[in-house]
Amino acid sequence: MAPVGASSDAGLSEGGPSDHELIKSCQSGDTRAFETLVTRHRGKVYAMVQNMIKNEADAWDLSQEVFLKVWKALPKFEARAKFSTWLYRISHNVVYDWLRKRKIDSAGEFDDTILSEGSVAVGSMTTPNQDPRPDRALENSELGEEINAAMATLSAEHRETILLREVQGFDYKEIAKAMDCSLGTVMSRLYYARKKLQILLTDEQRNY
Amino acid sequence: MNKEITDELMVKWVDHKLTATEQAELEVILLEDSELAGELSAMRSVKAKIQKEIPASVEPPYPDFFNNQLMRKVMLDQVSRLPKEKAKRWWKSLQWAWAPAGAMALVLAFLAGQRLGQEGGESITRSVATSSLTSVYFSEDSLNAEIIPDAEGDVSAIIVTGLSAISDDASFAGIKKGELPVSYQRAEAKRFH
Repeated sequence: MAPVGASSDAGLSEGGPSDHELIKSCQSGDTRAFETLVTRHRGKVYAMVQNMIKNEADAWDLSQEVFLKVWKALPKFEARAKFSTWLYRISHNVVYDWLRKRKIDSAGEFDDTILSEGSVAVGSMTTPNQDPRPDRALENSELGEEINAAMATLSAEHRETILLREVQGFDYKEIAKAMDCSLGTVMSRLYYARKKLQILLTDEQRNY
Repeated sequence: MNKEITDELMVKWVDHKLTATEQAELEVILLEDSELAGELSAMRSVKAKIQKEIPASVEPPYPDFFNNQLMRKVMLDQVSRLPKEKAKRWWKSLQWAWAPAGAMALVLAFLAGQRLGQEGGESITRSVATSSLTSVYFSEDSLNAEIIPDAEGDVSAIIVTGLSAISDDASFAGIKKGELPVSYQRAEAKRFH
């Protein structure tokens, strides 16, 4: 089932200029090329950030921050690198900076309320909000609720590894690059995250 | 077998990424642990559920507003960077002229040095001449001079004595007394009477 509200395929150029062609134009100051690049990738970035922090308003602001950082760093981007990996690396940094700031603000243990839907970060920017969207069907379905609850129990690192592998389809090396860690760490995180999810989701299903 | 290797094999099995050798290695492990096979199948099933339920891409709320806001920030960033880049470009555009400009500066410095040297020399000579004014020569032996130098004012006063009275017939600049202007003669007469 393809979730309603998900963009068709944000990563493909489909006849238009390739990512690398757009990046070249961006590097010579073409803002329209950058907007095309944003339109193409915003869905993936937003989905990733939203799944990491589970807060729509902050996910919107953080996605903006990701793309602004991309714009600023584009002159240094080398064509031999894969754009999507680089983009997720920036998203990773932005999300972890936000999580760290939240942790400092809460002045103690990692704040679990980050994962609660209604919470808004202190000082978060004004962001448009709207009524529940069609893709929220995920949360309304029993299985969707179970998966969300199980994912919420994972650490940020384990959750991100699962999202990059299972949802975004990154290979192990790409995950290591995006998360700035070793291949061994990726394999270990994948194993433990999957094991935990398997236990949680199997137990849930047994209870029904 | 090393636990890390076992974990890696299991991860790869779930992702259908095992090579033939790795598959054989895993099968040996599975023979020793009967529960492991069930665990692996469950992991694969969880992976499928996640892929089915979590979308890889979700448009942010108000996507047009998202782009507009972002592009506004991009424009602001561009504007803030403009003067620096312009200055950088201007400086770089002059790169070709650095060598000739340097040579020219050296020549000018040399010439200025020369000129300063000359002017300095002259002023030194002048100052020496002033400060070394110790005697004054007259064509007549009856005349004497007293020199009063003033170092601060850079001047010297010369008082001449032994001069004879100026005769009434003496002419200054070719004008005889009788030829002085009438107004001058009247003023002189008033002064003495």
